[in-house]
Amino acid sequence: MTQPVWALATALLLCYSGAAALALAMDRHHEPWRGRPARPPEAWLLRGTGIAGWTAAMGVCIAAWPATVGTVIWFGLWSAGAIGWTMLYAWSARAARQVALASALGAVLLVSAAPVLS
Amino acid sequence: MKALRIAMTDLHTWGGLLISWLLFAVLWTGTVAVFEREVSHWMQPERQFARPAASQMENAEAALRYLRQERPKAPVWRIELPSQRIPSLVVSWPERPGEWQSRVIDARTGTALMGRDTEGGDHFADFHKNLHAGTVGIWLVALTGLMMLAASVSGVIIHKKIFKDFFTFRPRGNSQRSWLDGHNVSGVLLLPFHLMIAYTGLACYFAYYMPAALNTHFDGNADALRAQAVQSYRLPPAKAPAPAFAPIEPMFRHAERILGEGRIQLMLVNQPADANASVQFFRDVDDRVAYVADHANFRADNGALLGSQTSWNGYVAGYRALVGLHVAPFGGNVVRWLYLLAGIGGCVMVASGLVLFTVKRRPRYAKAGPAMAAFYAVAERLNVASVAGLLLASAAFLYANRLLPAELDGRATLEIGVFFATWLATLLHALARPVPAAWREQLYGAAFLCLALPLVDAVTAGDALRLSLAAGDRVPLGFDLTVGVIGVALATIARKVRL
Repeated sequence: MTQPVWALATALLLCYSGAAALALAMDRHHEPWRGRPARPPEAWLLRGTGIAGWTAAMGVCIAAWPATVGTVIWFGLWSAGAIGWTMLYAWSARAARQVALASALGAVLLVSAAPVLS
Repeated sequence: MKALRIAMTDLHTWGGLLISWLLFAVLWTGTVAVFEREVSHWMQPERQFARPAASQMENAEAALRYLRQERPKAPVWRIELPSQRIPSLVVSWPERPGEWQSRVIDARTGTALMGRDTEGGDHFADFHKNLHAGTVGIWLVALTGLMMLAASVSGVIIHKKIFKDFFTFRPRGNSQRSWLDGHNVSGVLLLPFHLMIAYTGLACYFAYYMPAALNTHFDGNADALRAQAVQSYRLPPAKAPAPAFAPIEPMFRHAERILGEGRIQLMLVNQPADANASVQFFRDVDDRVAYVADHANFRADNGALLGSQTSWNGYVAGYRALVGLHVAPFGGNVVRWLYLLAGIGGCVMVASGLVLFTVKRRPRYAKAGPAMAAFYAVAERLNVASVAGLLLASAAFLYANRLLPAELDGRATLEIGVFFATWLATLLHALARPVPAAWREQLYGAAFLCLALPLVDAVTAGDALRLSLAAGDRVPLGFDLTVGVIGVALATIARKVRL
């Protein structure tokens, strides 16, 4: 039971923070945050982080469940993370960004705790 | 590109509008049907008065003892063993062709209880499949699936700022833009789900729309096609009375060696009254997308293995993966909850599309000709009844289950009658009331019914609820709480959203 719960939490946090990073790479969401558009290297770093987060989430799902089941779960969590970010951002951009930072840290912690669990 | 976009806009707007009144109902009932078995479990609180044993062997034995005694001549016995998902031991058999009866077995005492007569979650699943209207319904549902695909693709083509607006939802300010944002977010961020669910839904009934191959190769007999894919290893009837059954335990153990320890969820006893009776064990499908259940079949009189099927023709597995993707019998609660949420997202997409159509055109109503004005007026009201009215009717269906006397004759049909009567009443209400008031009243009505349901459950089936908790069966309470949360969500929508 621990493993699916671990995987679910990790993948969801990765999907949410991945969506946040990709959104914050866009001028529309970057400017309200830092008062200026993202410089190209910053934008690329954010995009890279976002894609890495989504990819890592897929890896977690495929490792934790049979590959076919894991892929379906990943699609669901991908939608959940992206919609979660979009809704929270609409309510409070600041809160959404703070949650994104916390999710990214949480995901790193959970990933590093994985060997202990298995 | 511009001409294409204009053409696609018309298709999306008008095709979407005309199909959405029905599509919303198909999506919503399909969403509920993800938890079909849980809904059925909740709708038969009597099940809580019969407990299964801890060991599946004892459960199988208790079920067989009951069936042998009570229905020795049934053509087939079906035994659903208790699982983590549904912790009840349920047996069923066809009393007459196509008319199944079921009982819940208490494995400790060997007694059987009859749950109240109800369609349970099947009501939602059947409506989702065929609108309770047989073949005509299957075709109508297919039309909604086809239009959902067309609307999804045309929606992407006409969404000029699909990447720019990818993560954008602006609930404050301009009402039309908020609705468009909501429609876009629920459409785009769930696009993989929408495309998958519409396509695989159509795939489930391919043989209905294109029966030519079936007619040519199998004389139109779907069972003959099935027999090529599924080796049942059943014996032809011997037309001689059955001798005593061999003990079930060695068969069960043998089947577990073939199918996996703790994997057996379903047993069928084929022609139990015949000398060629066989006992068939099926594996669960929790860990694979392809909806194929490995199985093993044994002679009932001596326990000899007749045959087992644990590997599948690649084409069959591929096709059954499409069906599995649609029905989601795999992945346990994680997948069911994700499908529920994604399904709700689909409902939001369709409902927001319906509202957007009217919000966008309201400023133009005054200038529209009398025919168009009448059409808009009807569209506004159909929106209310097809969305809020359906939710209200679904809640009323659950109330009918608890408030109609448990022993009443024909109550299963009456429950469905209450569902449709309530739905019709919401349409009349929507026609009689100003549109914003109709939305508000029906949403508040549905919210109230949902919020009060746990209370009604506690009053009408409190003993069952207590027993379920004592036995660690979390389905009934979980169901009450989920419906309560839906009630909170509906009340919030009724209060905050400008419709």
